[in-house]
Amino acid sequence: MVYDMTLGVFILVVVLFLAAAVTSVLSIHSDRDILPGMTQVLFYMATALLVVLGILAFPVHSLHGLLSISFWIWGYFYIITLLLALLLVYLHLSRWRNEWVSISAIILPLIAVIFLISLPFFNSPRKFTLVMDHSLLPLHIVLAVLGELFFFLGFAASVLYLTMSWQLRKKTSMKFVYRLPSLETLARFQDWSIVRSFISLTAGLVVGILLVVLHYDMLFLGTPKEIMIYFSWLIILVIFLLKRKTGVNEFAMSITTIVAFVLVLTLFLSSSVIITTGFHTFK
Amino acid sequence: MLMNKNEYIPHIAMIGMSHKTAPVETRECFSWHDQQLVDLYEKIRKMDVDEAVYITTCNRVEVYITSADVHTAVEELVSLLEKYANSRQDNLETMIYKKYSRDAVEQLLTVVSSLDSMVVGENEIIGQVKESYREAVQHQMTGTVLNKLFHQAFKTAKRVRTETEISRNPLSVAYIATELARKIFDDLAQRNALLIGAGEMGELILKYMTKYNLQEITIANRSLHNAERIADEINRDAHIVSLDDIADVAGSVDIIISSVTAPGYMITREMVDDIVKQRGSRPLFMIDIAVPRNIDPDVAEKHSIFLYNVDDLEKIADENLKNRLKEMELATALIQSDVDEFYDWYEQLEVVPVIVKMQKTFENIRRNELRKYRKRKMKHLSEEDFQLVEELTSQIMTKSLHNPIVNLKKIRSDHASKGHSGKTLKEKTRIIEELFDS
Repeated sequence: MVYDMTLGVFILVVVLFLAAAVTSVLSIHSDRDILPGMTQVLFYMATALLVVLGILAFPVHSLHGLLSISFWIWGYFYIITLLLALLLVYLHLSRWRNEWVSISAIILPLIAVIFLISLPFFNSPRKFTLVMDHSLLPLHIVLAVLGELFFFLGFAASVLYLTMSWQLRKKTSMKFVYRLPSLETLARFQDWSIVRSFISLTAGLVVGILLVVLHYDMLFLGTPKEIMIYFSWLIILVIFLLKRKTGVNEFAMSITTIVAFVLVLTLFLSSSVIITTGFHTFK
Repeated sequence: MLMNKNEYIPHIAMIGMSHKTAPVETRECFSWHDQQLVDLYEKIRKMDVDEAVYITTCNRVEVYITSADVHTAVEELVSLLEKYANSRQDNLETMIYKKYSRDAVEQLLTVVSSLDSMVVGENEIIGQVKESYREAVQHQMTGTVLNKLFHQAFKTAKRVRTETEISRNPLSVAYIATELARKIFDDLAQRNALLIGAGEMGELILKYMTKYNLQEITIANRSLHNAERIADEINRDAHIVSLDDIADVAGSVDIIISSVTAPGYMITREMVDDIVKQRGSRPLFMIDIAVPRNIDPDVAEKHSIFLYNVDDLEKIADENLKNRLKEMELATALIQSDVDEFYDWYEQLEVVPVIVKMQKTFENIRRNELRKYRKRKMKHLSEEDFQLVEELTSQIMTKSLHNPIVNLKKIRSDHASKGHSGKTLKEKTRIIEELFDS
């Protein structure tokens, strides 16, 4: 009964995120005033239901219980989706409010896709075997995931930058140009996201190293997941440094960020879903 | 005004002339304001007209009226306009269009929604019509029908503006250039611009951009006098340099507008290579409106350079216009649905006098009978109990009349949908009215 209800809410959340994704994409293709409003309503409904889904699926009563959500493979997807949704809420309330509709047109479809990918794992027994129990563990997970998600925002900004740049060079109608933020705004948002991505992931890795030192008395265990996350960090470091370089070509930077994101996403998904060896994978 | 006065159904009509039917020298004869308008309304008041609104805009003059005999009223209005036009205009009648009933309603909704404007989708028309309507109200020339019609028109215009894209996408080259600049840069207030030459279009673009408080403006021109004139007009502390100094200035600006007559390129690829070296990856917006062109088109290959020539800007304007025209179909459908809505209300007016008469007759009977009974058979009732009887009889009357009123309205709608003539309906309502004659 509870399982059926949870599954029902899960399907409803997916449908709402898909609907929000459709209206957000439509809102940058049309000037209908109703679409951005509809996107916001659908997004907030989906996010509220996502929280309800979490309460139904993971009846947790402690911080440790909350942490255990990410030990279950579907729970890990849930945490990613929730953090991404919360990041969008934050953007809506922050100085990026005016750019929210355009940014959400890239992020919302991906939230819907991530959550859809999690469907086969909804009742999966694959779990993360807890070998360490430390209060810093939730911090490590949240910071590392946030680092990757901020990079996702950088990717969204890069896609929008290339689209806007292409539209401006196409020199046809202004229909699309009107609905996107200016090139400089997009470049600033890209920078904002990458800086936060680098800081979060670095902090997450530092906490991770500390945990490994405390538990194994070593700096590096050489597991596939560790290697992949270090590799992701290196990619983000390169992007971060390139952005800091004066006179960097924003167009080339956007292409590089997109390629880097695809690489990081592949590493992230493979280390989370495909690889089952090592001390912190889903077995 | 009219319903209380005569209890007949007014007919709507309009006459007018626009940029499509009359030249400006004819239209300007009728651009009346203040005392002229007072005189006009005074003359209209003497005609067989119940309500009137005189609309005057840059591109049109229209008069909307209601009258029991609109055809006569319209002819009188045409004669009046002819008299005003004097001998200055021949064939005035051929320039005037006349519309009646539904067509007149549709005309107003189309005009206010700017579908009939010279620049489709422009926003000024609604303000101009609102002003004309306000004046008519001030002169007490409007009543039930035109008040409702004009409010409906303003509502429709708002719908057309918000539910279609007809008013979006600019059509003027100068405005397009400014909007493009705003889509490249975050904030124009922190940008520097260089105007090369004193061409009219270049000056106009710069004027548009200065509305966003450009940080610094430099004008490069052969004639110092012309450069100073532009600087005076845009009211800015613009720097004035000679054409030979362009290369020195170009590296520190974000926007270059060029419109100088020159045999070769004023801004060459080599010059832009140097500019890019100085600026790094910061975008540079270049507008070349000169013919022959002033800026080497090859410079656009660089990702940070956004170069637009006059053809590019005009192509965008054409495309924007096409988009607006595409939206006309949607806007026309909206207008049609609002015309239907207004006409439903308007046609109900035909049966309103009968309904009022029925209600009055029954109410009189009820009150008279109650009065009689209160004096005799209901003498013993307390005030409270009598109040209950009063309420009861009122309820019985309302419920008894409910079906006849609903059916009467239904007869009217059926009549309209089956396209029967108004004469048959009038005949039917007259019979019903006579049933209640004392």
